[in-house]
Amino acid sequence: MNAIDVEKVSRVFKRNDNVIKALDNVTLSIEKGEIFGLLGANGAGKTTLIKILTTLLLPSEGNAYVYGYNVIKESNDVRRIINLVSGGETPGYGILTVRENLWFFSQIYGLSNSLARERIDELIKDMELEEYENVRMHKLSTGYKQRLNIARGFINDPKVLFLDEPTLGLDVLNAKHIRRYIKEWVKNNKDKSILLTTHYMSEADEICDKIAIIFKGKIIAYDTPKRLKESVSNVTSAVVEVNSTLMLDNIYGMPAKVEYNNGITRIRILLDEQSSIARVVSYLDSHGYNILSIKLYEPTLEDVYIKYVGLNMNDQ
Amino acid sequence: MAMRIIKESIWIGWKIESNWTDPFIFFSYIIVKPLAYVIIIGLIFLIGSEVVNNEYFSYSFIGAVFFIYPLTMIISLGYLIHEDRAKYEVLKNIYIAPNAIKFYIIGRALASAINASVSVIISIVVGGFIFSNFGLGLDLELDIINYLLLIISLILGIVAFSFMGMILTSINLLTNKLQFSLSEYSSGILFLFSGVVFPPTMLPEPLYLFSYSFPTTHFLELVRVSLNGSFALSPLINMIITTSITIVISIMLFNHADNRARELGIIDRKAEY
Repeated sequence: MNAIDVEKVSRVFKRNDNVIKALDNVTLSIEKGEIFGLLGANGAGKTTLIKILTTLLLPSEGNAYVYGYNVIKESNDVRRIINLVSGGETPGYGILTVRENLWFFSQIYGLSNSLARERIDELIKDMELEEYENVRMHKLSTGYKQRLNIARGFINDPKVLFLDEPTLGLDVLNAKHIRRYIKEWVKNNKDKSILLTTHYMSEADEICDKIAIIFKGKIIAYDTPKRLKESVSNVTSAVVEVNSTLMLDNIYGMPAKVEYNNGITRIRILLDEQSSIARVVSYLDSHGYNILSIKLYEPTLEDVYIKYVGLNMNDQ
Repeated sequence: MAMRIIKESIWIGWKIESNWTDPFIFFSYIIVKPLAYVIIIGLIFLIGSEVVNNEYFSYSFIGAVFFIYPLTMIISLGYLIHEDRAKYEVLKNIYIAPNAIKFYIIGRALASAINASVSVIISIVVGGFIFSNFGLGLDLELDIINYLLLIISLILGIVAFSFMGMILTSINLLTNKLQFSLSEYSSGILFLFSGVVFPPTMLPEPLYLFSYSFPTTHFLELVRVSLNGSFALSPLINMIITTSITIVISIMLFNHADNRARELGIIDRKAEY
């Protein structure tokens, strides 16, 4: 039995005369002990899928199972073994302290007093919240609020944890701490699984065992990060900086992503072969652009995304 | 598990309603507001009546004081979904815990009932003292009160009002536009039709019959009977029947709203303003 099975799930939202297909015939499986990353731009369907799997939303078509329990018909059984943490959201009641918030949620999950105390102590230690355990939640910084949110997500020791952009808006240190904890948790608990959605390619690359790229409600790529990167191993990624504004989405059919910063245009291009860089230079030169620098990179997940979707995630 | 959820929900309800801002606000809501409402009812009676009638004054005063229970609980539960969904953003985290949401609502209702009890006791003591200075007595003799019936009335009332409040939470689960008006309209209708300040028999016949469909009507009647030291089976049976019907309707409506909210994907929907 897999931790999660999604079978031909579609979800349509109807608002007035508009029909939006948020998920389109999505099928995927997540094994036990796996950290699964779902990559996609805003509105791609990531949160819709998480909402279906966490029993917050019904699919329009198809079926989904968590540890064999049907999310539509056996929602209460699903709820016993899951938890959800969303980035950028309030982790609890502002009036309650960190410890009180964790206590409240431990009781909502029916934990015995002794088990609740033990687990709260452990989570406070793991999330390095000792200094703030008696501080009211509304007084915490964004990073510590999110640490509390993560601790809340682990309070019922879920078999499957859903993390919806858990490091959204966090500084490097807080994000790193959370990533390390997530990784350790799955490593130390072989039957536990995590479904993670993120905007950050490097985050997915660092912690996910498998990745699916979702675009306009459809899964368009689905494999391990290594194999996904291998799928673009025949290409080289080049970053060229020029000193003027430039509008393009490809050069000689090679996908390109453009960023502007302080009058400098940074173009990331997937070269079909390394020698193509000469054609790029020639193209830019013939159009009058002054090239400031050229760097060549090994392909990353960002290049995978550009290859499958045609645009960078943040540009959509 | 249910008891743990209810216990913690009472605690969080108490924390939110008592400590969220400051003790002054708490004092205003628990003591000043209900007391002012009860005193206004008494003053209207005092100014509007040509003949001072203790029996009728007691009827109105006791009705107004004990109506604080449904008033507080219904208003509190009427705001609950909106507050937890949009303000505190905890609704979805409670919702995805197994079997938690209904017990959580009941716990929050009980927290309101505790607050209402404080208001009721203070209103009786202070209000009774104030009006005794105007020659208006409460006809309340502590040694003749049928305490058993009073406790049964309060328990049945709190159960009924919890589930009446759950009806409002069901409606609010499906919309985030009615949280302010729904509580006010509901408590206004109940005030008019429940025999708070005048007997329901004074209403035209169809409305009089309508008033008997509310547990609040029988609750107030039972409280009055118990405070007079007597016993009446008919209001007790009516209270049990209307409370049972309220529970059934409330659970059916909540289950329907729960399913519909999942269909629409609005359990964690934020306010649209």
